[in-house]
Amino acid sequence: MTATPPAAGARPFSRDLVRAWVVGLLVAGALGAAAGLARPEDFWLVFGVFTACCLGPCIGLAWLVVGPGRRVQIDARAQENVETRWVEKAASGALFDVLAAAGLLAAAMSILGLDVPGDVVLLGIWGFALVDGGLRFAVLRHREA
Amino acid sequence: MHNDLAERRAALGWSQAVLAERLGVSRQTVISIERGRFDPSLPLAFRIAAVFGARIDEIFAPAADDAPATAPLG
Repeated sequence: MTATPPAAGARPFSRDLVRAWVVGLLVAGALGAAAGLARPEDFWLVFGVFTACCLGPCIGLAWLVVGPGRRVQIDARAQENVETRWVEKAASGALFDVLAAAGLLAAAMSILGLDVPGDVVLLGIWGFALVDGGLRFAVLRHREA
Repeated sequence: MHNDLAERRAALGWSQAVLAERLGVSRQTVISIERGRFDPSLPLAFRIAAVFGARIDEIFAPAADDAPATAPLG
């Protein structure tokens, strides 16, 4: 389901955007402070790192909840657009690619006796799915546009 | 599917963007339909026919390999 942005001639959402940034910054700061309190010996370091890492997602969430994103309307006719079909085809293709890649990786790790941390594996699968899906979408758009 | 969407649109002096807005779809969707690379959904096909004041089968025609096979009688 894709969203329909506001019309091109609409007023810019500057006030809503500022609100999203401020709320996002406050939420990220709160999360950083909570993480810092868990490690008081390195409070400011932990606070700074957690706040920086959470800033992007918090601003994105604030954009949706209190910013211009709350005015975005879901397009009821999204399924009729060719872009939706491209996304669906790219996503389904990427799913099968991830399954095949994960299977091959598991076999390789078993044969070679590799010991890779779980978080590295998960990050790798996430990144592979992202890149693979993005490439598939780009190829579809180039081929069928 | 073959279609004469581009000719009908040009006859009315509409751009692809104008037709897309009238149909409530993206301009890329109109482009893909005109090039025969994307078949519209049934509701969209009805809207296209209504916009041009024609029947669906006057605008769209199956491609040669999509044409239904005629079974021999008896």
